[in-house]
Amino acid sequence: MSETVAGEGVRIELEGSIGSLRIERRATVVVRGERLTVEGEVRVRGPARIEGSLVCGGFESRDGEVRLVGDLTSREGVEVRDGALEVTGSLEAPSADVDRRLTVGGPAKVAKLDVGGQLTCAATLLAQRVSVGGVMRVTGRLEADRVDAGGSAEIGEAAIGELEVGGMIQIGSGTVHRWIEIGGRLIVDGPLTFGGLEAGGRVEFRGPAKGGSIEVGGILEARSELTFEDLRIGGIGRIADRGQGRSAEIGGRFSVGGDLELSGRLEVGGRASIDGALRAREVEIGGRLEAERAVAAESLEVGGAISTRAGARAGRLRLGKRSTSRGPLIGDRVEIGAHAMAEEVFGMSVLVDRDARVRRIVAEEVELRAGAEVDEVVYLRQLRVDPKAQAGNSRQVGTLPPFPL
Amino acid sequence: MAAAPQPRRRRDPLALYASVLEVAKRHLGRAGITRLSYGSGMPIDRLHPIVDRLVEVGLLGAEPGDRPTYTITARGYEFLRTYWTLQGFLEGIDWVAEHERAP
Repeated sequence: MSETVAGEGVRIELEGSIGSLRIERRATVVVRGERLTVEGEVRVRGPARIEGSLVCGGFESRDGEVRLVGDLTSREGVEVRDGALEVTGSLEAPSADVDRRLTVGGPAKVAKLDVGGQLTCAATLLAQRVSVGGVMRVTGRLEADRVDAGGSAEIGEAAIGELEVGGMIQIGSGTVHRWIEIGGRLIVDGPLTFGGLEAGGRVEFRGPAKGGSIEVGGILEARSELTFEDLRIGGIGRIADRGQGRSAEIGGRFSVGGDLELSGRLEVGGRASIDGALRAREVEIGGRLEAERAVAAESLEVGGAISTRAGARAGRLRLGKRSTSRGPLIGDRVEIGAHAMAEEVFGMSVLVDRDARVRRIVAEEVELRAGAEVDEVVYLRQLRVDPKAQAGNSRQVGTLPPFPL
Repeated sequence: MAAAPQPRRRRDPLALYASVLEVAKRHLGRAGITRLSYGSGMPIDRLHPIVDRLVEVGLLGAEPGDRPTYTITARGYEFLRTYWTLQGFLEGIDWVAEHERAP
C-alpha cells in the first residue's frame, strides 16, 4: 500500500482515496471534495492540521495537537499519545484513547472512549464505556453503559447505565439505570431517574427525582418531589415538595415542604420539619418534630419536642424525658417521659412518668407516677395515681369521647 | 444548563492527593505520570513529589520501568472513602454556618 507523506511544515491538497498517510510536524492537509479516504493508517507526528473530512483505517497521533476541520471516521480506532485531538465535526470510531484532550464539535460515536485529561463533546456522545481522568463535558445527550470521570463532569442529558465521578458532576436531566457514585457533589437541573445514588458531599436536585437507594454524606437538597426507596443522609436533608419512599435516616436536620410518606421507618438525629402530613410505620426523632400531623402505624418516639397542628398518632407513642409537646397525642399506648410536658393525650393506655405534666388525658387506663401532675383525667376502666402524683379533675365515664385523627 | 460548579475551596494538600488517587483509580494500573498529570491538571514537576509521597505511604503502588505506571492500592481506596466522608461532614457544617448568617 503506497504511503502519502505531508512533510514537516508543508501544505498539501489531497482528494479521493489513498493508501496510507503520514503527516509530519506543522503540516497542513487540505481535503478537496467531500472527504478523503485513507485505506490504511493515518499517522501524525507533532502539531498538525487537517482541513476537511477524513475516513481512515486507524488514526494515530503523537506529540502535539491535531486539529481536524470536518468529520473523522476511523474503522480501527483513534490513538493520541502525549497530545490532543480536536475534531470540529463528527467523530466515529470503535475506540479512542487520547492522552491529553479530545474535543469534538459534532456528534460522537465511539464504543470505548478513554481520555487522560479533558473530554469535550459539543453535541451528543454515543458509547459503551467512557473513562476520563480529569474533566468531562458533554453538552448534548450522553448514551453509554458506563461513564467514569476522575475530576468533574457536565452532562446535558444522561442515558447511562452506571456513572462514577470522583469530584463534581452537573447533569441537565435523564436516566442513570443502575448506580451513580459521586465523591463530591451532584447537581441535577431537570428530572432524573436512577437506580441508586451514593455521594460523599452534597446532592442538589433542581427538578423532580426518582430513584432507589440514596446515600449522601453531607447534604441533600431537592427543590421538587423526591421519590426513593431508602434515603440515608449524614447531615442535612431538604425536600421542597413532597417526599415518598420506604425509609429515611437523617443524621442532622430534615425538612419537607409537602407530605412525607414512608412505608417503613423515619429516623432523624436532629430536627424534622414536615410542612404537610407525615405518615410512616415507625418514627424516631432525636430532637424536635414539627408536622401538620404525624401518623405512625407502629411507633413514634420523640426525644426533644413535638409540635403538630392536627395531632400525632401511633400504635405506641413515647415522649422522651424532659420533652415538650404541642397538639394532641393519640396512641394505643402513650408514654409521657419524666419531667416532660404535654397538652392533650388520648389513648387506650396512658402512662405519665415522674414529674411530668399533662393538661388533659382521655384514656381507657391511666397511670400517674410520683410527682406527675394532670389537670383533667377522663378514663373508662382504671386510674392509678401514685400518692405523690396529682390528678386534678378526674372522672370515670361509660363511653370515651371520640379521639382526634 | 448552568455553568459547572466551581470547587469550594482552593485545592489543599488533601484535595491534591485525592485528585491524583481519583485519576489513578480510573486507569486501573495503567496510569503513567503523564496520564496522572493530564487527569489531575498538575504539571509533571509538581506532581512527581506528590506521587512519590503517595507511593511511600502505600496509597499508590508503582510498577517500575522506563515509564513507571501507578495503581491505587486498597489503602488508597480507603483514603478516598475517608476523604469524601470528611467532605460530607464539612458540607453540613458549612451549610449550617451559612444559614446561621442569613437574616
